[in-house]
This record gives sequence, C-alpha cells and structure tokens, in this order.
Amino acid sequence: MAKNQIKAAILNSFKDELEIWLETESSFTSGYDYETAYTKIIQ
Amino acid sequence: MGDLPRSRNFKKKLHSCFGKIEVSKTHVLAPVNSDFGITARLQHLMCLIGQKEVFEEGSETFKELLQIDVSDNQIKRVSEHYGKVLDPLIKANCEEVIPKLITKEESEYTYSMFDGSMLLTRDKGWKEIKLGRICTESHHIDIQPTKSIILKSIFVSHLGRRKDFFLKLERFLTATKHLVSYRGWGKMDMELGRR
Repeated sequence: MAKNQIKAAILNSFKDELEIWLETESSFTSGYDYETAYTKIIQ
Repeated sequence: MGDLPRSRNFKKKLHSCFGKIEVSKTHVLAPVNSDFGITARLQHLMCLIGQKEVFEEGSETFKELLQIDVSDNQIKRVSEHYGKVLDPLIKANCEEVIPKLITKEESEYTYSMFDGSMLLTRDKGWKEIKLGRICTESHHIDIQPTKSIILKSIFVSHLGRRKDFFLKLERFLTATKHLVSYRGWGKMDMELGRR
C-alpha cells in the first residue's frame, strides 16, 4: 500500500469525529469538558 | 493549541493530558489554577491516581497510559492541595463531598469494621491512624459457595485520635437499623465469607 493511500485511509477513519470536533470546538466553555472531548476524539 | 499569539504575554504554557502545550491566554484551556499550570482534567487525573497509588508509581502510570511526563512531586502537590481544600468541608459535614451509603431496604444489615495502628509521620512523629470500612448486605455478593466479594463500600480514614475517628464513622451509621460491627480487618471478611 502506498504512503498516500495509508494517509488517506487514516484520515478517512476519523473523518466524522473530526468534523464534529471542528463544529463543536468553539462552543466549549469549560476547559475540563474541552480536554475530555478532545481526548475522546484523538483516541 | 488554537491560534497562538506571538507575544509571550498573551500565551501560557500548560501541562495537559497531551503533554506540555502552549495556548493563548484567551483559550478555554487557559484559566487553570495558576499555582500549578496544569489543566483541570490533568489535575483531576492526578488526584485520581494520587489516591490509588503511591506518587512515584503514579508518575509511571501517567507515562504508561498517556505517554506524558508527570513527576511524583506534581501529583503530590496537586493531591495535597485538593485534600486540604476538602478537609474543612468534610469536617463541616458538607453532604456533597461525603460519599453516601446506599441501602436497598431500611431493614438490611450494615457491616462495619475498623482497625488502627501507629504511623511515623514526617512532621509530627508517631501518630494514631484509623481506617474503617462500611458496606451493606446488598453489596455483599456470593461468587462461589465459599467465597464472596463486597461490590461497594465506604472507607473512612483518620489520622489522629480515636474519638475524632468515631465521629467520622458514626455519620454513616446513624440511620442504620441493624448494624454488625467488627474490630479488626480479618474478622468481617471471615464472617461474611463463612455465611
């Protein structure tokens, strides 16, 4: 598998979570909730 | 993290669950307890691990689980800070910070056991230490014919005089109708396991 295909597959695997994160990121008012949500996304 | 200003006056370095980060002072992660420079969530995890393990092992756990460097001294400072904040609330019987003993029925049995010893402390020399454990009948489950486990229980600890320890212990037992109390750790385990 080519490097580009691997990269695309990895990005595709968390595309939905990333979209949700980008939409909701600015709405957090608590640092604790922000970090908790971000941790879930990157996991 | 986020848009980072160029000037040092407008950004802040923090320890977070992702390691050391730099954020703008206006970022949602920025307003943390300035004494530590640690995000709220990482402080929470430090307290959690600081309760479960000795601080040195806690540092290794952070490395293992989150791949971040957190020193045993940092875990100690944060844990002791919040311990000191909670102490007056516990002494004042603030219900929000005191765990509750949940009983299924009013008539069910409550078991309590307690024991104590002397502990050599750094600043005050030898001091009495007491530890109690309380559980209810419904949280005591038989898993084998001769073996049982306690699913939920409340631990009560006290560094100091016996009289003050009993005051702490009693607040969980005042509503109990049927109480079985044991002095010494092994006795309760033996009695419950025998049934």
